[in-house]
Amino acid sequence: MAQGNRGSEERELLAPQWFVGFDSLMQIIDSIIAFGISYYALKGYRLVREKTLFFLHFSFVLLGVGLLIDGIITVPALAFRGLSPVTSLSYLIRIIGEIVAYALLLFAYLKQTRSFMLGTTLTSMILDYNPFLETIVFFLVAYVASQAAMNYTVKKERNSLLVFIGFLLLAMSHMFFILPPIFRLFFVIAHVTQLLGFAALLTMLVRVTRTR
Amino acid sequence: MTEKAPKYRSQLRIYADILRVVERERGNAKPTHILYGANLSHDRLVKYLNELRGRGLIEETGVADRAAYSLTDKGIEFLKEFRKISEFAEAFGFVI
Repeated sequence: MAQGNRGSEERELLAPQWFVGFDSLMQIIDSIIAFGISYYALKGYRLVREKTLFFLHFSFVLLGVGLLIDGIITVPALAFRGLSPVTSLSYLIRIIGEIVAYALLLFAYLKQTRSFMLGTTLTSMILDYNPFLETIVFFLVAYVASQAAMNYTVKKERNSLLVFIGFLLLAMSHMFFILPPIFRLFFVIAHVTQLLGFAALLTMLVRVTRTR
Repeated sequence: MTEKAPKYRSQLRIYADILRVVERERGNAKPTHILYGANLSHDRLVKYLNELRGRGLIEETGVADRAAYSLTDKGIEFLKEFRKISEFAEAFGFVI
């Protein structure tokens, strides 16, 4: 618990004072977009029973739940210092959710390409903000982004480009999430980049659902 | 990687391929058009046409020896949804 008490304090150290609270708002918006994509993937899975769509659905559910929990819990935690351990837990839920979600997406890509997947072992480390875990997520999303890039080079379609841009921005955001201990502004840049990444995915979703 | 089409078509993909041909022929899709358009053998064509009729996705519009097919409202809706899902999956690089 002593470690947990550092939760919101550490977050405040990472974020510039003026940005505190906005990060939660952005995470809640990100989660809504993630749930939108997961819903559409589930709808697709129900129609065509293709497992890769179920993996896509489940990975975005995990992303959405993690972002929503972390986003919602941070707000009261900032007001009531006693909730700091809860903030640490919400961060842990989000980061593990992201690792599992992107690993699942990677699995879906590799399953489709019938490649081998390197076993991913998750060590359950009870930690607050953790650059190591952020680095794992960065590499996972970067790999997913590279798969999306290859898909775009083949398809040359705008929707594929939006998915590639989305994952690229999400990968960049996790790279920025590694850097706040060096410079606080990276925390802001990371959240803005993450929001832009989800916005790119939302744009693709809107385009697809509007198809006649 | 994702440029590879699946080696076999799922049942739903075959349904969609047939429905596309029927849609293209605008309510006058003859079995031979569907057979070539959806790349099916005769036996499989008969099987799938029966299944699609059973599911209410197509209806027979021709007379006796000049069979032809058209999409039902349910068929139009299915094809529309399939296209959206297919586009969505392909945006991520998944083939369905």
